[in-house]
Amino acid sequence: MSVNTTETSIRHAQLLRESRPFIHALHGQTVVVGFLGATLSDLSMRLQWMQDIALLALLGARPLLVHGVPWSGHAEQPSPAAQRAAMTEVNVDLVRLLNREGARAVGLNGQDAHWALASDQNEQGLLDADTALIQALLAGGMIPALMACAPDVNEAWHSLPSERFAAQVAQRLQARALVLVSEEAPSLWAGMSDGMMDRRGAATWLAAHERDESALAMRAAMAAADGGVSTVHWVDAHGQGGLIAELLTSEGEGAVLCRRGSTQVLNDTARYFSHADSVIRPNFVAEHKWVVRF
Amino acid sequence: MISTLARPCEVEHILLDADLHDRRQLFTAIGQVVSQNQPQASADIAQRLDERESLGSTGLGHGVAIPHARMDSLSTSVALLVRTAEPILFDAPDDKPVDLFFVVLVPEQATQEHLQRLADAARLLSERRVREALRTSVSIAAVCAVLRDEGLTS
Repeated sequence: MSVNTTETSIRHAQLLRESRPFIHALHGQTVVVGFLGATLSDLSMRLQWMQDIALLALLGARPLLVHGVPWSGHAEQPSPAAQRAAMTEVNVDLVRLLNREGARAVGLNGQDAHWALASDQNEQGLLDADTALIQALLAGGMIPALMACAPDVNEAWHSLPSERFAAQVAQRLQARALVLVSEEAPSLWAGMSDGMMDRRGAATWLAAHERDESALAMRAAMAAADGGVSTVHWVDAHGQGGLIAELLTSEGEGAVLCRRGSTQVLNDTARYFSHADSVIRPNFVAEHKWVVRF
Repeated sequence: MISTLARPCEVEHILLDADLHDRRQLFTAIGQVVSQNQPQASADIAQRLDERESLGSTGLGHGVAIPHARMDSLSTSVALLVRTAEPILFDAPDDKPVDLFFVVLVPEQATQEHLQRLADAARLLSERRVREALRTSVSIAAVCAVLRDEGLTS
């Protein structure tokens, strides 16, 4: 064995050892991975992402993936029948890739076991969902690969926005994390301080970017956080190993919306020092309190 | 702008690659470092840090936390930097385990200066380059240099 090979082996072992606390933190936790827009149209990218999701499952997490039609918002929208065919074709391929990578995956659409009911307003996503089937699959070590589509009360088929669908599924499963994979992600987090924001920061961002393409994803992320999902991550679809780096390292690769953020930490600290003559402001400056006496 | 801080983070208050596995072990170790050979004082520090943490985690995300406590036995603030050998679960907002702890103990009657020290630590550790510098420092001297360059020590 050459010196280089030995060094590489040692480095691999070291990386695995360093990842252990992060793997421990994610063990048994549900992680919903939502693919937005045209993310999965690139076949090599598709393989890379399925390898990472399979790895997460093999490490003990409970990943679940959501995808829609791999269609760019700039292109002309295909007919409903074409959308359904395209979505099914992608789903079959994703399940095949996951199984090939050592995981056990099963593809589902909203009609299977009637688990999902769509709103007749597509942008509203799901009207109702019974996640018992999905929970049973996750508990059995399977990876559900969900198509973002479901019938409405009149049995009419709807293709739903995958970011909203993924957020609703994450919320109903009380997932530990929701990861939104998008080609738009880098522009979304360009305005974030250090790749991290809390609910208040997200609302500020949304107010300034109402018309951005990423606003849909931000609204879905905020709804998920409000509904109990602990963290919502945005990861660049083009990033090599982005999912693993985001979830299994301190710094991550993308951006994260935390239900509880630095504002809450400062509020707790202010409560703790409520008797003091000063207070820490959100800009990390300690100031004397203004006391108005009557 | 970072304020000039009254007291340095002394060399004996920097622990690198500490073999600690949970919050209880961390706070016990901090008590022992600050109040050497005074078991009751050590236990008090650990208890006060734990009480503060029960109000809400002082984790900031990205593997960083700023545990702090008011101590009636102190007349001036004491700061410690602890880098654990492995990240430990700390209920941080991003759910990630924590390996960098900047600990600040302040007198019971905390003043603006004391709170500024805490605020400075929180702000600096919110910067990726500082966290990376602290994580990759191979000696206490190197950590001191990072803290000094960033204004966290005199």
